Amino acid sequence: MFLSSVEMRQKSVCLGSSRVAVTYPAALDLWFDGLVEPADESIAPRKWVRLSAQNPLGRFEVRTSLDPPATGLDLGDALATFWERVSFLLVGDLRDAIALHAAALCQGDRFVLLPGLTGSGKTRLSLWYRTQGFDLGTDEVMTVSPGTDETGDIVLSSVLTRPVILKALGDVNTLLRPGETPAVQQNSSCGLLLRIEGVTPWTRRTVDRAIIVFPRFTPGGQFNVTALTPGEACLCLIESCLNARNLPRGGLSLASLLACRASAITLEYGETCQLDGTLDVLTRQVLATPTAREDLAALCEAFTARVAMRNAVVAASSASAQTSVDTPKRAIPAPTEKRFPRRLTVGMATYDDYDGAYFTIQSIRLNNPELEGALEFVVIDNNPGGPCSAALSDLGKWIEGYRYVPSGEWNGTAVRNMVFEESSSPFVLCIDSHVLIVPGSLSKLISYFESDPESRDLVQGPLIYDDLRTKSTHMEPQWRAGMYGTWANDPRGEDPAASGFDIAMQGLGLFACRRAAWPGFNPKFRGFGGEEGYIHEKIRQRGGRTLCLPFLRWMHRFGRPLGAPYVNRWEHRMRNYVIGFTELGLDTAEMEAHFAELLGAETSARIFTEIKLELGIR
Amino acid sequence: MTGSPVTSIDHIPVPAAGVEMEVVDGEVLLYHPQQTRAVYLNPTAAVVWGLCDGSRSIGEIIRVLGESYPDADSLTDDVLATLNQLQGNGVLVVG
Repeated sequence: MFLSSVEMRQKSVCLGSSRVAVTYPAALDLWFDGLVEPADESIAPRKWVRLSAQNPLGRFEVRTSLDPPATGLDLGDALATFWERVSFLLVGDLRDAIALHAAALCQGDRFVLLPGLTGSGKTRLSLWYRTQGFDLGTDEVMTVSPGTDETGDIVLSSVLTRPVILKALGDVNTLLRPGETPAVQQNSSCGLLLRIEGVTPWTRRTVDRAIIVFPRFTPGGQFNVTALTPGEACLCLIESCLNARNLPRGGLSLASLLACRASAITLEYGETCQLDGTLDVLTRQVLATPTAREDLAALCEAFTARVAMRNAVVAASSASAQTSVDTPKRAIPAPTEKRFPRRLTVGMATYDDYDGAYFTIQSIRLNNPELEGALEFVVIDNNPGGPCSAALSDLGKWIEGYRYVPSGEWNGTAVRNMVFEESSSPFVLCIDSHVLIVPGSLSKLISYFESDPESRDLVQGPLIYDDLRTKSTHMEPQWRAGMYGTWANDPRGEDPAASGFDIAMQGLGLFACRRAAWPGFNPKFRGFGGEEGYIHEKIRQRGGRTLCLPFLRWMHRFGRPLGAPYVNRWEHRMRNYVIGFTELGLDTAEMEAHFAELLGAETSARIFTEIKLELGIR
Repeated sequence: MTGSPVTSIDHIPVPAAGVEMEVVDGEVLLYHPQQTRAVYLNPTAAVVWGLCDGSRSIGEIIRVLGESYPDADSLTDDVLATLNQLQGNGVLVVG
C-alpha cells in the first residue's frame, strides 16, 4: 500500500462579519496568496470549504460545510468551484453590508464599481481599467456598508483574494499592463483563471468619488454609454445585490445612498479598444470633478457618437478598399514650397480639425482686411494622409500667403515648434486651430512687435469665454486636477487700451514671440499637457518677460461634442512635466505630491518611476 | 404576474403587504421583500402609486388625476395600464 502525506494550509476568508475557514494543499499556495490566518484554531469553524487532491493524481475534490462534495475535478474547475462556494457561504448570512456581484477598482479614495451578472464583462472591463492605472481589488464580490458615524459616509470593501476568471478568451496579454505576465494561470470550464500580482483586496475604504459602470459585453457589439439617474442606478444595484434577503428593506436605503453619491452609467461594448479615448476620459472626468447629471448625460452622448463616427469612418474606408483594391492609401499632399515672408506669421497645428482651421483663418481674413498681404498662414497637418489633409492643402488655392505643411513626425504639444520652424516672418503668432481673435488685435500686435524688434518676450492676451464677458488674463501657478495652472483674471486686463503686464503663465491657445527668440518646447515632449508654465519659465530664464497684452483678446472653442480624435493620457502629461521641470531645474516634489493625491500614491509612484527610468533621471 | 387584470374601476388598489418604498433623489423605487425584487417607477407611475393608499377606488384615482391633468389624453387607459403593471410586479393588490 502506498501512503503519502500532503501538507495542507488552513486560512480564513472574511466578508464583513461573515467568515469561512478554508483548507487547501500547500502545493497550491500560489493560487491562495493573501488569505488570512484563522482567528482561533481551537474553535471549530461553522462554515468551511476544503479543496484537496484525489487519486488518481491530477484530480481534486471540493467539500463544504453545506453542499454535497464535488469530486473528480481538474485543477481549473476545482479552483473555480472552491471560490464559488466560498463566495456563496460568505454572502449567505451577511447582514451588516450589501454584498454586490461587482468588480471594484480604486485610485486612492476614488472608485470604479462594475456591478453585473456573470458574463456581463466585468472582469474584462476591470482588467482594462487596470491598464489605465486603476488598482483592482476584486472582479467578483464587494461590500457596501455605512460609515461608523452619522456623516452618511459609505464604506467599500473588496475582500475576495480569488483569481480573476476571464470567461471569453482572447489574447490575455492585451488585457494586462505592459510587460506584465500572470503569476499563474489555468483553464477551466468557467474560463481562464489568472492570478495577477498586485491585485490586492482592500477593506473599509470611505468613498470620496465613485463612478458605477454597469457593463454588458457582447463580442463585436457596438459601444454605447448611457447616464443613469440615481433611481435607475439604485434599481440596478439592487439587481446585483447578493444578500438582499438578509438586509432590512432589501438594502434599498444603502443602495440609494451609494446611487446618490456616485455617478452611474450603463456601458455596452464589443471590444476593449472601443474604451480607449472614451471610457477612460469619461471616468477621469467624473472622478476629477463633480459632474452634474446633465453633463454626464451629455458626455455619454458625445462619447457614444464619437465611437459611432469612428466606426463609420472605418467602415467607409474598408468599403472603399473593397470596391477598388488598387486604390492607394490616401495620399499625403505635398508641402507648400513657396514661402511668404510677411510682417507676421499666423501658424497652427491641427489634427483632423478642418472646420476649426478654416474658420480660424477665414475669420482673421474677414475681420482684418487692412492686413491683406501682411500675413503668412502656416498650417501644420499633424495627421498627414488623414481625412482632412486634402482639404487643408486645397485651402492654399484660395488663401494668399497660405502654407500647408504635413508632419506626422511630431505630435502633441511639441509639434508647435514646427510653426516657428516653417514660418518666414520675423514675428510669429501661434494659435490653436479653433481660436477666434478680436478684430483689430493683430494690427496692434504687429505694431507692438515692430516697436521692439529685439523682443525676447512671450506675449499673450485675455481669453474671452463664450458669454463674451468673462475673461481669463492668465493662469495662477497652482496644481489642480492634474494641471499646472488655474485660470484667473487680473482687472488690469479689462481695458483693451491698457498697457501689458507681467503674468506667471497663461493657456497656450494663443501666444506670440519673435521667431528668433522662440526657445522651443522640449523635443522629448509627447502627447499633450505640461507646456503651460514650462515655456513661460523658459522665456524668463532667457531674459524675456511673459506678458498679457489686454488688446490681444481671443476666444477658444473648448467644446468637442464628437470628441478629440487623439488620446490625451495622464502618462504623457506627467512625463512632459517631469521633462520640463527637470530641464529648467525646477523641483518636482510638489508635482509628484499632486499626482499622488490625484491618482493614488502607488499608481503615481509607479508611473513616475517608469518615466524617470526611461529618461535616465534619478 | 400576480392577480387578474384590472377591469373594474370600483376596485380599491392597496400596496401589497410588506412592500417598502424608497425615494431616491425624487425618484420612487419599491421593494418587494418576499420576491427580493425592486421596481422602479417612472414619474407617471409614481403619481399613481401615491394615490393607491387604500382610501380611493380606481375611478376616484382617475377623477383626481383628471382634475390635476385636464389635458391628459387617454388618462383612464394609462391609469389602468399602470395599475396592471404594479399588480403584475406584485407590489399592488387590487380588490
